[in-house]
Amino acid sequence: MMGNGMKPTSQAFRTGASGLLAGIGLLLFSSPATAEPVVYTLRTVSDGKIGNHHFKEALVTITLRGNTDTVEQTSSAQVSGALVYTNRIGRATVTVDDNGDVTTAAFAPGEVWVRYDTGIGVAGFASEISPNYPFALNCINSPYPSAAAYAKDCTQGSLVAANGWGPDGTSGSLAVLSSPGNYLASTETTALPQSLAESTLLSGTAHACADVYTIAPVAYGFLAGFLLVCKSDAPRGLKTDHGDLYFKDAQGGSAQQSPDFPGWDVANTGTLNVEILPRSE
Amino acid sequence: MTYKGVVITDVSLDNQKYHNATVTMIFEGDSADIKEPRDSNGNVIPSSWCTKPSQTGWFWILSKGSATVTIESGDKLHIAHLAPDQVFVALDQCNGGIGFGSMWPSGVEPAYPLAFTLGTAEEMTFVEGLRNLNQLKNPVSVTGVAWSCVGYPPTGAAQLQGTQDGRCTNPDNFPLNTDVGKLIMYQPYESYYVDGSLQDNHNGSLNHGTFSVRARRD
Repeated sequence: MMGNGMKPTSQAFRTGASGLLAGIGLLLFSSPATAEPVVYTLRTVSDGKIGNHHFKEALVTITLRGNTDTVEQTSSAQVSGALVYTNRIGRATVTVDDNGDVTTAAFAPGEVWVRYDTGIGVAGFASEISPNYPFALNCINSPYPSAAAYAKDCTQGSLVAANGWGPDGTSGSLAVLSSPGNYLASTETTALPQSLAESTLLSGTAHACADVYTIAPVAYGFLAGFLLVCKSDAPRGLKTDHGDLYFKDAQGGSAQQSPDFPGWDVANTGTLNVEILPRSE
Repeated sequence: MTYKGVVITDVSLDNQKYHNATVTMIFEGDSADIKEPRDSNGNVIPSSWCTKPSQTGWFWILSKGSATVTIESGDKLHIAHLAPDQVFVALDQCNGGIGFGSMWPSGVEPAYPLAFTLGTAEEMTFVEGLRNLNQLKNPVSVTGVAWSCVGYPPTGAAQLQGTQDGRCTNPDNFPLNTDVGKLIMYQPYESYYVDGSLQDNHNGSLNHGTFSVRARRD
């Protein structure tokens, strides 16, 4: 059951990709020749508005149904040699279950797509508004690279301190395993594919913010300096057949009752499931 | 009320294993049947008994009702109705857990087949619990770390010793009876310390999921 802290196939691929990419910069790879139906499903709880309906702490499910042959690979801007996978083609829908008041809407074509930066271990749904909006899993929960220089959210994944807690999801665990630390993962975890073209499960703390998060002031005691809640609305709504859709994380790391229950440990989390479907006859 | 947990995990139903299936566990019951567990003397058992004496909290349990599990895998849906008196809904206010536990001859398993901790699940059960002791009676949507763990808490907690190796017990010997065969929930995604024990009783599972409470619509 024990992992060895490394993922040999992934590491070998990264090494090869790094050499191939040297001096080229951003490069679009050709996709696998075999096209298989795939559905990407992100589940979390979040805050926002669809049409005229405001929701708070509602169940949110975003799906994109497409094919694996439209998965694209580019180089990560954050980690040399690492890859970013995206799939922009498919029919995307969103379901918001606000305490039993359920709205299901279809996104306008190309409005959102699935994205996974394997270098920093951040996965979710992207848009033209931001590569990490509407949702990104496993973002760092403190202003990065510093409070003064924090201009975009989620440019780094959740970091694992040498003596702190380990990764809090599979997405972060897979990124950590590329640089072995004090934590090991089950073989089932290390075997999770990262290509968005094979069945997998990526999980972690959820960010839902087109802007930056506010930063906890000194009054927050031990949580001072950590991110709190999404600062402002997205500049525009995501287009759906039920009106404009906005997400704005109002929970984030704002819970600060005691040192036993620190902010982001009790924030919303989410999963991104990649499921390969059987071919229709 | 309807209590629903959703997780992507490995599961076995009637000896058929499904990998990364979407597992939805639903328990339907009446909030009037929510009870506080009591010891043999009739005293309410506080959930603080396994943590700090200064922390006060309570268990809330709903065992009267019906449980159904749906498994979505490969665009196919499998539905299993659990035999009665196996699974209950529970909220552990002090330790910040909520989900579906089960009863066995060997005792109670609070985090098997599916329970959630950390995330807003913990925030709701603990923080809001201090203000309102009726959590299982109110509609809510939360997320958290998903556990399907026999032997919880595996690394121990105060008076609870945990398992011998600090990991969850193999669930193969804990099949739940359903109308379509035995149901077994697995916990494939885990994080360990270098000594092989789970990272801890909260972050040891790397999986996450959602839990919701809704008014029942008959």
